[in-house]
Amino acid sequence: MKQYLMLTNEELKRSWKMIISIILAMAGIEILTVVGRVIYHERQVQEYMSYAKVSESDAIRTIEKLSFEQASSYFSYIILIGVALVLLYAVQIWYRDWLGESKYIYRLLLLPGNRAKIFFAKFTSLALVIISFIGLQWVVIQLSFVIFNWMIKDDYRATSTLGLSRTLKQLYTMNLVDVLVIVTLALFTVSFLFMLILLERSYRKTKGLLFIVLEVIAIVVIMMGGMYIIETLDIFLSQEISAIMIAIFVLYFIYTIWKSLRLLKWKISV
Amino acid sequence: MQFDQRSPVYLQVVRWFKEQIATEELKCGQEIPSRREIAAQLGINPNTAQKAYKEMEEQNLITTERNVPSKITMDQEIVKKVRTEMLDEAVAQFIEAVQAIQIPLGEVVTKVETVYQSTERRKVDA
Amino acid sequence: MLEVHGLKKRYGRKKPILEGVSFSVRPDSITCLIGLNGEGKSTILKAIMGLVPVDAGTVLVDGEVSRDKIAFVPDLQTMPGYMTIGDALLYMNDYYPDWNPKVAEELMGLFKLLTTDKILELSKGNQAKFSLVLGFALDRPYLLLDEPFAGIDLFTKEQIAWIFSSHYMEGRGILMTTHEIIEIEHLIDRVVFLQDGRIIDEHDTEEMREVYGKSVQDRMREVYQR
Repeated sequence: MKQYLMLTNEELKRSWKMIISIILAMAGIEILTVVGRVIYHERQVQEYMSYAKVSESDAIRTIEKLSFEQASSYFSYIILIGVALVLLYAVQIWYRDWLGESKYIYRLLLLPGNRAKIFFAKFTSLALVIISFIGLQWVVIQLSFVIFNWMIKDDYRATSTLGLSRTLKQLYTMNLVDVLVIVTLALFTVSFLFMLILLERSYRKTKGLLFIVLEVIAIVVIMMGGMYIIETLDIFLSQEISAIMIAIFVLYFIYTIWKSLRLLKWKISV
Repeated sequence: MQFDQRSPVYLQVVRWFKEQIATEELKCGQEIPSRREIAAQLGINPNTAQKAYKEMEEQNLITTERNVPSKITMDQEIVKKVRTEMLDEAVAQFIEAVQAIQIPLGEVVTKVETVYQSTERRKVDA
Repeated sequence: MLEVHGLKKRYGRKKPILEGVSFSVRPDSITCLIGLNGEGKSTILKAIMGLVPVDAGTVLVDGEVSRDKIAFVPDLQTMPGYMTIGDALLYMNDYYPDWNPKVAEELMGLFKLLTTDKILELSKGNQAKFSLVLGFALDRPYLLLDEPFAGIDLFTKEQIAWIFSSHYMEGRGILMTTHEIIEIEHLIDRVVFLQDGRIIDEHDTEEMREVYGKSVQDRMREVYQR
């Protein structure tokens, strides 16, 4: 346990500069897009006024008021980039130990005790990064909403409450269950990705690729098959359906971790 | 110390000791380094040092009692024997070399005397 | 005794690199695993440490299947690049219950290594010395060294060789791989020759000299040039 905590600390120590700068850059860019949208909207109105020789209120009526929902419409794309970066980090956190300037993987695999701690230390690092990423996004949205309201002239603003686009609403609900679902989904993705990486690091080249393809096919079959059976049989209540889905999901989650630990113990190659 | 890799290292160590006993660089009853020390000093494996000491004990060159450092033997006869043994060995080698080029004994003896004396003289001068 | 039984290993569809390798390393002795480049010497060490999976074979340490009694010094840097030597020593102290800081400190002094030096900025010779510190400062009865003298200048070699004649050897069975043996021949107790994935010959070095009048080098010539 102590070693696991120390390793997690070590992992974060190795990446925190990169993580912090990426998260800050993303937050900065997000806020800048909101500011940019407000300024652009105002200029549009001004330009229309001088071009069409109309009053300000007429111009606003034509151009339409700007809502926060519109002003923050780029957020989803930036968040998508963030998700891609997190996935990249999940890959990098393993491969750097093999391909980096030193072969740290030797040291990790030779540490006394169970190798599971290596897996869980990397997994925890990812979990912490994901959670802080989600948390910070929420802060950025609140912050940019405040900035939006403060910057924009009252006449220009479409009066919506914290009006988020639909995708963002799903992502940034404060509903605890929803947050948990998002985090779990993210962790599942990470764990699945970890398993694929460890398959490659264990079997390499053709054999490794083959196993990766098989695992990907397996998960697609499980998901599609599960849904197909549920739909065709049509005997389950919706609550039962979600229970079954959750059970399948949890089982598969456990499988990916079990498989990864086995690979680390028996099959991994430096 | 340089080693001949074709003959056992432990015997070379024994011989190194014998040379020092013959020239009385190591005197009768003198304490010698421990096995561990001699290994580090000569740059050999501690096992080899152990084997060399065992060999020297068997040849009664050194005596080892429990809990005290090994010592060169007090037995003057053995020291004498080491000297003759080394002389025999050197002479045998020399004769072999000389016979190989077929030089008669008389010439060899005269040569040996002059060279031996001149090198001795040079040693004194130096 | 460290016993290796019937190690078999094949990479991909190529010819197997190990075709049933068996040998043992006695405690308190230095065994040298000799083979030309690419004969699988490193693979054997990695297999013993569980760093590569094998197709068959077992490794027993004093009769048990456990790696806790073996320390391994590979021929490359294993500490993360951002660390200084001091960081690395603390790391070892944190993770290894059998880490011996006293030995580490002594060897650091002997090898004139500085704790403030960045690991990645060390010269090849100092890297090798530092790796040896990491290996010898673990209080473990067996130590595996992969090519400890590769690419190192003569004087560094002599410094490193010294350690094998010192008291740091006490209570240790050492297995080292090498493809050039000249400067260290007299240090070795036993040689094991590896060729085409098999052990083709093994000898006690002193016996080889005494009975056959041959150096390890001589025997290498006979084995690999026939």
